[in-house]
Amino acid sequence: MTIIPVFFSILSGIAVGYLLRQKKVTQKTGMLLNLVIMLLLLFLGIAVGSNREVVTKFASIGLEALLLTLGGTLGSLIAAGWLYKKAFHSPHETSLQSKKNNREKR
Amino acid sequence: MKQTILYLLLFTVGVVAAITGVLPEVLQDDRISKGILYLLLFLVGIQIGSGRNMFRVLGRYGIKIMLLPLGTTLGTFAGVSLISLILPDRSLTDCLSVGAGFAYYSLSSILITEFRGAELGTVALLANIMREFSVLVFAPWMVRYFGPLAPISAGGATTMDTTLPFITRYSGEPYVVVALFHGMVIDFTVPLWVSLFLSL
Repeated sequence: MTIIPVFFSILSGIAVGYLLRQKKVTQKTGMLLNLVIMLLLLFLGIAVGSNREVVTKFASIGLEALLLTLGGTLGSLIAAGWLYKKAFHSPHETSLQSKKNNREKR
Repeated sequence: MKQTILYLLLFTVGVVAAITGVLPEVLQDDRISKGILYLLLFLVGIQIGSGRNMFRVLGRYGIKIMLLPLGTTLGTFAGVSLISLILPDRSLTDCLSVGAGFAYYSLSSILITEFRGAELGTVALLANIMREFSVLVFAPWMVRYFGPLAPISAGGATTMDTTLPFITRYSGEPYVVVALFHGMVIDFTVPLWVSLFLSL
């Protein structure tokens, strides 16, 4: 149940944004978004600071974060490397990558 | 970079204020932050809905440019799923929701804190900041070992703003459009994936 308002907020935003896409107002959303994010990060800090468990477990939380970053980033690096070989780096393809530069390097 | 520091500073101010107990009770009511969260998501939606660039770029480069965001997503999910096996305290969906932040640390950590608590929210904040920093620090190394698409994939949702200058420099000019498109698509999918994994 709790997740439904999340989807609703995004989807109604997309609808409103699409309807107002020609209006200047939509260009201001980036700035407003930034302010809201700053406010929420302050609240996030408050939530973390008032949670004794998080404060005392900070080292192990940091380690978990590091491991998840390693896994996620390496996974995406491997995917990108594979994709480059398979789809972007074909001999007939020159639009996305300059063959000339590549030969010079060799 | 400056923005990241400002964000971290605000987060730290919040932590310190809460620990020292200088805060009035009102500010610790989580209904306020929940309300602002929905406003945030609404604004994210407006940005997506009013953005014209995504489809124009798609028209020019064809379907191939779609493959990279897909590769980033699948690669990341595979990687964090493996890590979840060695983290006994975290479920698979917890790990996937952290990974689905794709370096968009503000939005993902805020969402996760609201729905799973401050502990996993902090993991998400740190993990996604580290992901962004990994590009700032290791971009040349990524290009050397995994090719020019690698820092774009690693940069996740940030490849249209904070990490773009680094990608331009190390992957080269021809990849700017790929990076912009990649950033827009991933950026758009972050709140959707994160809330999906939180609801499972």
